[in-house]
Amino acid sequence: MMNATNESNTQKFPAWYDGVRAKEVLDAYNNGGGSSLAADEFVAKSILPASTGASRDFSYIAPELPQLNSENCVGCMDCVTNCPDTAILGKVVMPNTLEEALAGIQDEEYKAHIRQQFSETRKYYTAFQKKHEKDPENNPEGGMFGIFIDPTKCKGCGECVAVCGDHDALKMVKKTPDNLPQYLSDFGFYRSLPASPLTHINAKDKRDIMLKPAAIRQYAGGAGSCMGCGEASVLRQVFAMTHEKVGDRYGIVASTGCNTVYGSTYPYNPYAAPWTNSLFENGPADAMGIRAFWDQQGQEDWVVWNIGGDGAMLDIGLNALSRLLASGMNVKVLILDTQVYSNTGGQQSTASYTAQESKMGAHGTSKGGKSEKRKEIAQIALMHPNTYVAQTIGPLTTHFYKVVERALAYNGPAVISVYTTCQPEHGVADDMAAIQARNAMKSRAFPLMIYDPEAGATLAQRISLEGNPAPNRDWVIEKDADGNDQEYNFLSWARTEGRFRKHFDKDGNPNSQTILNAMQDRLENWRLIQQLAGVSNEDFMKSIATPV
Amino acid sequence: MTSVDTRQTSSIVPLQEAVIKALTALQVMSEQLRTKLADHYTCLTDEQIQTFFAEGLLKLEEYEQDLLFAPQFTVKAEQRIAFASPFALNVYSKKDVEAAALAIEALKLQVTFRLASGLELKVPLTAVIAERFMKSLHLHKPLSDSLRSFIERDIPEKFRAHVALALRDDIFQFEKYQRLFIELAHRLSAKAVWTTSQIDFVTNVIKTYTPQTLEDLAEKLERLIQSCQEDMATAETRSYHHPQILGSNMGSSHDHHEAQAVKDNYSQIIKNAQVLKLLLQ
Repeated sequence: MMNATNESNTQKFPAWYDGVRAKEVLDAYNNGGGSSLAADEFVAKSILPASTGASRDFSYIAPELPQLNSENCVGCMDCVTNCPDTAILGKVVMPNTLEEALAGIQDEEYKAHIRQQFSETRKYYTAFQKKHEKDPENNPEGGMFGIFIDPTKCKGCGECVAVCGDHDALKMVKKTPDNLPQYLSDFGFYRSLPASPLTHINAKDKRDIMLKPAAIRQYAGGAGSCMGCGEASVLRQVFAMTHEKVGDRYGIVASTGCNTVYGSTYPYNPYAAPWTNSLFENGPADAMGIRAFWDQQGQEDWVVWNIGGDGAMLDIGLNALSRLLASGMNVKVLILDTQVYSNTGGQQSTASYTAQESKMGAHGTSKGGKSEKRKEIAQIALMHPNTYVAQTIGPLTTHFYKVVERALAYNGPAVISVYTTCQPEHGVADDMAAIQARNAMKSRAFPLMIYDPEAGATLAQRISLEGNPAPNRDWVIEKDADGNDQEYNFLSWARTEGRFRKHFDKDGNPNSQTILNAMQDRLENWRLIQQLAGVSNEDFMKSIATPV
Repeated sequence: MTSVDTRQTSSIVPLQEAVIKALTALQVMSEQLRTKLADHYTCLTDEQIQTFFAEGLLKLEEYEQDLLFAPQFTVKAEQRIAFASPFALNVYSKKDVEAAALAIEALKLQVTFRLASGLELKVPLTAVIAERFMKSLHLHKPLSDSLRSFIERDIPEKFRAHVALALRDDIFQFEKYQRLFIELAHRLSAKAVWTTSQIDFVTNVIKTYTPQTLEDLAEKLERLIQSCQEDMATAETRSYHHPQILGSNMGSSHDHHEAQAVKDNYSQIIKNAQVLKLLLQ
């Protein structure tokens, strides 16, 4: 009989790592005694040990926690993938292994409760079981699938519930001193189980990467990001896929921004890979130096990621980014585009949309938010020689993982610009990261685009708009409840975000020329990339054919 | 200690017929299904969806069909009461449901989707779709003889189906939670304060906080109230999840709107908890 195989759950520390001291520091900080600690070598060298974020206890933060209805779960892994805090995790476990683990629980009620966290999904159970029954020698039996919450990581944003959506398998319940201990026990049970069998991790479904302990460890959570932060879930996915492709052979250069603040609050480090922080303007230069050194050392197959926000990459560090791209060096750049300086209080950036309200882009009597047009980093980047460029969003996991895989495989500079929802600056709810990113894409505010220099001889062959709805139209047309055509355009999306709210009256009608200018800007940008991609826009063709 | 359901299973034919009627009625394609088609199968236009339904669907394994269609064919909590009420006291096994789904597939019926553009497309009504719909009703979850008798005898007729469906939750396989619910239900009846909101609140509190006795429940309700009050007090300074902000809400500030949503939600929890606490005195 074929057995399911497991990936090791164990992790070894390097010889230089002082685990005793690290535990002392983490315990002190978790108990509020950090300021009384003596300085140590790590602090003196500005070094944070890897993955210490895993030890951070956020269980005092979340007002609510997700509750699973396993009966409705299909094992799609969307909740696990989109969680910004590595706080909700999936596990496949073989039935006999589960029974053995359950046998160790004396309390019958608790045993039943744990059993209820697992279900026989078609994906992990029925599909395997049917094959196993036909040919037990060559097919493992079906696995039970469960979802577990780590209450020390969950901030209660509710993003998992939002992406679960109509599956109705998750809902938020009020956290009290009475249900928190059960979440801790449940997660302890999850951790006591062996890793999900590799045989049951679906190679076709990239979301299953997050079943692998090593992938999950690349961003351990415990970061100080806001509830529901759109950036953090993108970082988790990028580094999970990077580890999938190159193992531990990668490093991160982070340009200053939100990601460096929430990602390096002493002594908590969410990253497993070597990570360094440079200022806003010189992350690309720093990454080039590391690239050059690794190449010199014969480590050409190691991956260097340079991550930064729109402030770092479109504004302050654009020169350095342009220099990097022109160099042809094999550095991967991830831009976390929140369209605002989220880190420093929400100042306008060149990525901010026209009409967007922000600090230094205030909405008042003489000016209605930002008056300039948004800068498009993807278009700028693709005009650099032999540069792979993608514009994507995290929740479209197939598109997202596809461009990350391709960027990693591409032998040269690659830029991935990702729309990332920033709840406080966009004025959207904490569980809206995925929904707002999808709607930004659908509204043409942030279209999907891939430029692959190796995809063909012409510009049109190299640019793909795959993934955008109605790619040959100006806007997406839908039917309303009465069967009438309804346009989903830039305004449809903008009116759902607080940063544009002053441009709409109480009924949601636009009340400023600036917001109409913003819509026109987005339309012109969309038409431009359609033309670059060789996509014929039937609405545009009609408009130019109509005599004025 | 669990109590075992010993009754013969009910005839599944009426349920099967109701399911067929529901699934062969026009289905407005959900946003989530549309997104899945775009993300996983690159179906971005109506024509691409049409081609995929005609050709690509046949190549999908059953688990892939399940991942694709499950959100569309999951009966949501609010629809479940309306649909399942006629069957709420019946007994169906998991095997009954799976057999019924296969029987539905054998009829070679079709599901008709209406897309956002108004285009209507058909796909075969498979056992995968039928089973997802039926299992999300949770009618195959046991309802013990004692609970059923109690419902038929002591619950006002208007609320019987609602209670019978709520008590299909796994937590009520335990006699102590059955007894707890029965005791609370008697007190609700005595005070004539039955509402569907209160039924849901009681069953959710038992499921989420697992009170062992009425005294324990009273203490846990107090801590639930305190927890809600603490979060309401700081609601203005922190953000929470809540339904999407719509244009009509643009008159008020976002933060205030969020805080109000939190306060409204927790006020309702506190209100329900206080009603329950009064019953315990």
